[in-house]
Amino acid sequence: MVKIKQVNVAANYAWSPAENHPVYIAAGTAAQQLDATFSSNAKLELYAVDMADESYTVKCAGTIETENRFQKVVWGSNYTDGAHTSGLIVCGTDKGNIEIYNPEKILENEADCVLTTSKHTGPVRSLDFNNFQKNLFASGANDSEIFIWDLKNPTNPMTPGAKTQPTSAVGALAWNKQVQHILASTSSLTSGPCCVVWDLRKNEPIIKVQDPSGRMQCSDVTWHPDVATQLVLSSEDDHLPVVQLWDLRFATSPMKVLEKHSKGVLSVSWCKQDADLLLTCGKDNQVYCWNPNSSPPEILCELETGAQWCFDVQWCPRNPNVVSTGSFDGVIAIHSIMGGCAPVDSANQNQAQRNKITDAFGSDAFAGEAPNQQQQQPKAKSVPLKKPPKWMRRPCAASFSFGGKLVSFGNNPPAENQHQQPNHRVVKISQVVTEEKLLERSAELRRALADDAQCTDYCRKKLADAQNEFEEDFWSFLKVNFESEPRKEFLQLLGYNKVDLKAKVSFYLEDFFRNKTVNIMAGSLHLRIRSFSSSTVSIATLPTCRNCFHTFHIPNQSNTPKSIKISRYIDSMISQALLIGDYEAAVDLCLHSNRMADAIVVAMAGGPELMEKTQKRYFEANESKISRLLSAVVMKNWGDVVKSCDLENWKEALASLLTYASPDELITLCDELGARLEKHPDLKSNACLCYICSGNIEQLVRSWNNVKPENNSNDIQDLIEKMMVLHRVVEQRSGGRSAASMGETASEKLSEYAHMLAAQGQLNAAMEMLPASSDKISIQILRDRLFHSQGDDVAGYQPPVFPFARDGVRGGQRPEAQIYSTGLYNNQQNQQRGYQPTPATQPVRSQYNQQVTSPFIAFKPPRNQMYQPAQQRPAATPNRPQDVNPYARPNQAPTYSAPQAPTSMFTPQPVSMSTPQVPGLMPPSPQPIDTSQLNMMTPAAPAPTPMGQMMQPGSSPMMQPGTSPIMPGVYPSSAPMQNIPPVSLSPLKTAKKTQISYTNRKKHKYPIQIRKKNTNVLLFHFKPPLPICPTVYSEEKDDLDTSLSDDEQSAAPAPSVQTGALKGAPKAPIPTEHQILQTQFDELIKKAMNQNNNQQIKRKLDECSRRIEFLYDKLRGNSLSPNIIGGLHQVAQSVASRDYAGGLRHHTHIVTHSNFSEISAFMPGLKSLLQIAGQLRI
Amino acid sequence: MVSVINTIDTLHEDMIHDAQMDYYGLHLATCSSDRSIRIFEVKNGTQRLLSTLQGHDGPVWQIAWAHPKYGKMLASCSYDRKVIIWKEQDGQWIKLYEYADHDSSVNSVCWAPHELGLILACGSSDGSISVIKHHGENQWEATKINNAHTGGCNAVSWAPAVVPGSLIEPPSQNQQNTFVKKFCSAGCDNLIKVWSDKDGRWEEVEKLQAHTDWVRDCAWAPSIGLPCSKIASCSQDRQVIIWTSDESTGGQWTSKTLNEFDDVVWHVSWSLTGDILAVSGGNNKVSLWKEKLNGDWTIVSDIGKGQPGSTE
Repeated sequence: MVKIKQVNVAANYAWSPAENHPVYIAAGTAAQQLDATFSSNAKLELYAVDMADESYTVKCAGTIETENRFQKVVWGSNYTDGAHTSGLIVCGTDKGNIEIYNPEKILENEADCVLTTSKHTGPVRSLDFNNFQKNLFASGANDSEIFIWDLKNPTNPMTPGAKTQPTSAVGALAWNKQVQHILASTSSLTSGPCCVVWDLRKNEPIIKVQDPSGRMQCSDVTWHPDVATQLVLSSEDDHLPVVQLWDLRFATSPMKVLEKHSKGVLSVSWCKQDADLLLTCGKDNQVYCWNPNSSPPEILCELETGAQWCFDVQWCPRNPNVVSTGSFDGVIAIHSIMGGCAPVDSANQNQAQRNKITDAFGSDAFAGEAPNQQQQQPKAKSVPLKKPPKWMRRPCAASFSFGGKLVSFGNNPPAENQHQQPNHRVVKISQVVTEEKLLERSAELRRALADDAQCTDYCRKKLADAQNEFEEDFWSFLKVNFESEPRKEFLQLLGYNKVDLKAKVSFYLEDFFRNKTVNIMAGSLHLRIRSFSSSTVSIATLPTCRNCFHTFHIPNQSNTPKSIKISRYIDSMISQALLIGDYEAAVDLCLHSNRMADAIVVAMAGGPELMEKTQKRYFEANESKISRLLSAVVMKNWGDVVKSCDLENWKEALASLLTYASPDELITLCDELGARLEKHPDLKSNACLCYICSGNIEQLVRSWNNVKPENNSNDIQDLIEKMMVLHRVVEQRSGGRSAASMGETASEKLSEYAHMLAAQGQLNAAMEMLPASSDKISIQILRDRLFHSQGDDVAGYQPPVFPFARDGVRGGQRPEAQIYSTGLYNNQQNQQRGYQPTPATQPVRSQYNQQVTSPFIAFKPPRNQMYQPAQQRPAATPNRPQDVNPYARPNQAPTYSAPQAPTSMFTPQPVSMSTPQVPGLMPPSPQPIDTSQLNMMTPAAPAPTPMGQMMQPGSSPMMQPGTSPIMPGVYPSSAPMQNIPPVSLSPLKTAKKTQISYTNRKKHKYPIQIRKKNTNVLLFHFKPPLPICPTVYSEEKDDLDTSLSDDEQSAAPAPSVQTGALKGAPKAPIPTEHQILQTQFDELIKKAMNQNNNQQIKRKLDECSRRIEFLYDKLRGNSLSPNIIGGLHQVAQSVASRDYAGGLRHHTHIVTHSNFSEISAFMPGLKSLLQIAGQLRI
Repeated sequence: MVSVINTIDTLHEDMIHDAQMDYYGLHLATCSSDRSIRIFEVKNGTQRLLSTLQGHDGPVWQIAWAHPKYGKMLASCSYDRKVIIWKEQDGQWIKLYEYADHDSSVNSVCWAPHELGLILACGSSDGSISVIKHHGENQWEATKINNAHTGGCNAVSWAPAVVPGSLIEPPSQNQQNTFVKKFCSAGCDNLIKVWSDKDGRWEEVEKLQAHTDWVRDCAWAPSIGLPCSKIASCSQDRQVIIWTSDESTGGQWTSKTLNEFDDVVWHVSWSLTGDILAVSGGNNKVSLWKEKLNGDWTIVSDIGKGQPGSTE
């Protein structure tokens, strides 16, 4: 308990009721004492006890002068709906009056006494408000006078019954806390009952408590807050300074006696909020806090109040942490029962108090009391209660955790649970789902994405459900992507139907001929040709014309030319020009005489160059509504159309693109058109359609954001549905784009969506939605969290790289050997099925094995030569240049691919992978290190790596004293690995920390080996001294994860990246051990081609062959992980045995157990090849 | 919709005061008046007691998991005036550090966002708040805010790590020094205060006044990408108040009463996406609240009286 505030007033006081805020103390000048000035003035004051106010002395908030001094002050809560909202203050005066004040008036310093009565004859020492009927209070005075007052009718008080005999002053009154009509009163007489309990219904005393010892001089009474039959009485007799706990059911002797005070006890106060807390204070200047319910009653806390008797102790009704004590030195002290440190200025206050006394008595007032002085100082620090009060004990809480889980517990009162399992022990974890609709739609979407047929149905359904035209357009555009000829369908959607058009044209033409209208164009053309052929031109020299002639000659034989004479002169010139073979001149002539058709016909004979020129001139000369279209069609200048067309005609533009543009052009042109549309205020929604045609998801998302700013989960679901369907379309259209197609905006959306799903507990779905290719740190963080929150065992996913820089803290002193000697390493080895390492290379190989453990175990390939490179790698001596010949020794990949292999096969490059890492080819500067990874290593908090390496630039662990920088000379590769000192482990505490903080890293017992090898390789490529940092970093990556590159992008679709090292050289041969793959697959394509005569399937096969080429590239680059290669070999075996279904099974296995981006370029091709082969039964 | 997926009999011998899941939601830590902390592995509807941590001499009020980048680490605070930082090392939980510089019950512990480093804020009934910072090698340094809340501090909660002016998203690493370091605290002085680190000193930058009784708990909402800070507070006065401060409009804090309950409100907890607030009050009632577009708060789920998490 520690004093936190004080009120400098010698007064009888009352706290404001619990309902009131702010909290006040009403202090009425005490009748029983005189203050230093010997003044007989009387005041009633309000003090605002504001905990937010940091000052130590409580300020007076309102004062009124009163006529009389006070024996007792109580503050009753408001009992009406209006009038006195702060309740009423009832005061008993020394003259026998009861005065009632309105606290609100006091705050305004208005001396407005609500009521004064003078029923009592002596000083009114006791007052108490009823706990249930707030308008009732009891008052007690001398001569055993007790009145019950009703504030609603205060003129006529009642008595609880006949006066007790012998009469005495009523020192205290207390209403029962449970039963409203029970009142207890005390008598200060030792003879007779010390406490009488009245039943107001019967209007008589029901129990008279008589202390067996007969010495009890009762000063105060208070009822148990919860148990109706219990009360405590305090004795002010110095010979019996006790507090007795009585149970009225056994009223012959006290149930418990609280003995600790050394002098008479003056006041008791039982905490309403916690019945285990009872305060007592007495003439021994002590305040004790008891637990009267424990056996024996236990003192929880004590407080020395100073040099003066403490005549009163009270709990603050509103803030039970606070208790007040009134003492005869003119101070109401406010304490916190929570203990703690006294405010700084309490010492000053003490000093001030002393100064006052010194002033009054002269400077030597304290001269002889030096030892006492120390005692008077309140202790600066004080102990809180031995056991926490009830209100500190949080009974319940519900906290959210990841995945929309809510962890909750609740402690029911034991009484309710007596026969059940104790409720206080149970914690519940619940799944909170607030977006049921979203989850439903999300599940539907994911089902749709499973395969094409579903997806088409899905689009159809969406189309049917579309609420507006925009949605309708959107879904119809998406839907047709799953048709056999999406472009045609797009056209149709834009209102261009080939069949329709044909019908229209023929209808129009028939009509035309029926009306016998001369087709001037055709007519004149044929005339000219006729005249032309009638001259002496050798038909053989004009094969094209001859064809034309034939075409037109026959049907037009009978026509009689009319205009022939007019043009005769020019005709002859043209003829001449043609005769001499000067087509250009002939064309010029024709154009000049505005004979466009002739010009074109002649130009056709004159070769493509002339043709083009003529076309151009034609378009220059002719401006018609459709000439631009004509021009674009003929000149294939679609860029122009897109750039300059009137946006109102965007449909036409898009239609023409769909009809004519090549696949590559289509994408850029549609994007361009979309970009233009986006800027148009009315047409911007149509931009989305363009992006659907081009398959540009990123732009789709951006323009969508423009068109429909989202408000809720349904809006984002709307977008995600479209995105994902389009993504699937794009993926299907070309494997190469799939990974790249999720741009930043799209990734962000997906990540937002994944967050939403995760928040609803759909962890797996969220994981599926996360863009696999994104290197954004926020996505990596979410992926890591999603993965591990599903229990480290998510089918189809490899453990993601931990996206944070680890910052281990270790306590205790443990020998490192112990730390590292767990069984994990051995376990790891036991898992190495398929390998029988020889002792000499064991460490190295185990390192490799650990790296590939999961994929390797997931799938047991035959032990064939494809694993040789890995096995040989440790033995490869990088300093022997003759080994470096990737072309001559394809199956000895090590030397060529060693620099690459560690990165691409074993280095899940955790962060941004925009550039593939080929360490051997990188400049030896810090640049090749992934900068985003560097970013994660905060300089202030050095981040040890899983291998225990400092990532701080410039402080490579290898530079530690006592260890040598790694140089080939220092660790020749032939040296037994075991001899290499664990450089990274011993000197570094951080290393130690990490090893522990991440137990599954413990297996890296020999972290140095790969690094050494890499170093060697690097050195081999770069003769100049190698900075050690890059090596460390690249090593770091090796160890960051045992998995194969969830994030690995270097193997991602663009095959050119893989073969980047070979640029300028012809394609390398496929390593011989993998040539079987090429043979088998190519053979199969060929067979299928021969068997098939369906155009659609042929196209598919072309696509397969194109895609499988990516595979070959990867094989050449040696950039596929062994499990994928193994799987492919199994596919090839199945192909060889014509077991296509088996092949598909192997295919599925690869797809589900590998990194998508690594294989996405070719696996779809392989799949459809197998499917076709199955269909064709070849 | 709230459905119970796990019911864990903790076997604590007295009242439970806190239950917290770790970062991945795989481990549950509980603490109790029986002075112990228990750690469970929770998976697929089953649970396994992994460890019982003994070390406090009084009821343990709160526990807080550190970010996994610091390993498996847990902070606890107790009525015994101590704060203990526990760490799992070699499969064993050890007492990593003990802080005993409070003069009264320590009621709340909260780890700072991991971007700021390994920093723990502790609020005590002695009215002070300690901020304990790890300096490497298990060296910890404490800064104390004395007289933070007269009558005692009941709760502390850190603001999400954001860089001033770019509340759009938490930036990546290496910007430790540019993050705003802020937390809020709730106390028996009926106030919520916002503290900000100014050159290594903690300054009171805001005093939020609206509650009329002890503020039992406060929770700073996770950043949802808007330049807006949100704090939920609950009180003995049965009110839950949402405080918002919009950086774009000068950062003034405004209060809105979410609801007035029929009993004391003990605890508020934001969902990780910051869109749902779980309110737990007396009578063991838990209710979930969501902000509507117009800024009003609406109840989305009211979980049965006395049976938190029940689906009845």
